[in-house]
Amino acid sequence: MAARITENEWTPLEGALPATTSGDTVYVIPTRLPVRDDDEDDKLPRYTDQMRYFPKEARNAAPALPVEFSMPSGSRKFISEYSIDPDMWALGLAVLTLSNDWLIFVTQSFIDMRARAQGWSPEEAQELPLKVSIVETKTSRTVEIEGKGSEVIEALRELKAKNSGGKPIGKK
Amino acid sequence: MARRGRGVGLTLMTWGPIPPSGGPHRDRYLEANGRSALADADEHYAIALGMLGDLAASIPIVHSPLTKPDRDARRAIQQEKAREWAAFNEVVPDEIVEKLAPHIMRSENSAVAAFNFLEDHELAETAHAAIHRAAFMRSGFTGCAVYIKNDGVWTRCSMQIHQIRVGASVGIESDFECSICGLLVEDCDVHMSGLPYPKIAAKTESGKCNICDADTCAHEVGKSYEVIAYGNAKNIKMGEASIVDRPQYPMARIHEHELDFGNLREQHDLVANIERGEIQCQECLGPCEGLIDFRQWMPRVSRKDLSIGGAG
Ligand SMILES: [Zn+2]
Ligand SMILES: [Zn+2]
Repeated sequence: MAARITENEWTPLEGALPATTSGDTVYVIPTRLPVRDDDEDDKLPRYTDQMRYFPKEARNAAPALPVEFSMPSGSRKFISEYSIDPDMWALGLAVLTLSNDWLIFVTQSFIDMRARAQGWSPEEAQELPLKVSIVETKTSRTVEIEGKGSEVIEALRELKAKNSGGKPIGKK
Repeated sequence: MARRGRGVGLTLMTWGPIPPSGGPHRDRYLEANGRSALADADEHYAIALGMLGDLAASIPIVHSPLTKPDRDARRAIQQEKAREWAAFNEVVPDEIVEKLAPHIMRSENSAVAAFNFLEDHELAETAHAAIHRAAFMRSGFTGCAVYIKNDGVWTRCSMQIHQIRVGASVGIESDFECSICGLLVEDCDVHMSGLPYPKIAAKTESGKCNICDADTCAHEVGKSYEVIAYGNAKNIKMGEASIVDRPQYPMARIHEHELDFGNLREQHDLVANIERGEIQCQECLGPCEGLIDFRQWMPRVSRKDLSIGGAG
């Protein structure tokens, strides 16, 4: 089985993208709406609770890793939902270009974090379902990749190879 | 006028650490909590039974589960069991019932907890049977009175409620502050949740110790102490509750529900009887009729009938 890849079908929520995208930084973007829709002044998208510790844990594992939240401290909000975990963990990312060197590393860090949080072995964690949604801010192109962790990583590898050559994203 | 749907009271969260969301950690958490609750249910059932001495040999026995729902058969069994209990209660001294009642209640509550933790475990049926066993004895000795609330008739009978296998989930927005340095946890790269760090003791604005949050304690201001880092929830905002089939908090369940007694305003005698504690739920004397899952149950309630309770 290979990961399912869709291009330009998904759009990030309004306000989710970073104000500026610099060089090789990978930005973690929020993917959820507020828990209440009655506050007109507070419509900014929310991060899921899993993301709260993610950039920090990823940087802790690899200190120079350029990964940060797209939204500045103070405007960031997190939602916890206390039904049991959806099997599929979701990661939203924004990068200047899809040839970013760190996309694979950041995604792997996310899989590793889930392994630690829920007690999976590293091998088991590679088999869990994952969805990664990526925006290329330079072109506004978007890609969504869905599959087992290992399949998503493989798809990211191919994506990087295609985009490093300067060619458009190939068909799956 | 159309009668509103039947009401339900839900517990949303329980005190203590947030249960693991999934994976092997969650499995272990559920099994450990479930087994200890089941052991507690067994222990207190045995204590209650032991208090009966020789009389325990002639205590009424819970009917085996029906193979298919059969309202008439169930009613007949309930009535037969009610007669058996009436006869048995004639010979059991009141002091003994008074003494064993707290144990049987404890056994019932622990059995409910055990089933909530173990519903997907191989011990699920054991825990389920422990609820029936305890509810049957509790009802036999002390009855199962219904009560009036919001112009309706309600019950907390575990026998009726445990059958509904749904739970509650609520979306919550909150900030977490690092317990060591006070930064938002996502902005503090230094302190990892769950690990110990040195922290200098000081008084907070409200005069409490910043190490243990007590007004007076042995921590000396200015001295360094080892403290486990964690996130302190701030600015909590609750969203709407929703019904789910597997709540992250295993005990976030229905804790009471409304029975269909029609319009109470036209039934003064009934209301008076209920207020005197004379109307009893009899379900707990009867056999199990099987469980109702999320999909079967959802169409029976409407959102406005969910009344949300606090921590249980
Ligand atoms: Zn800190
Ligand atoms: Zn009852």
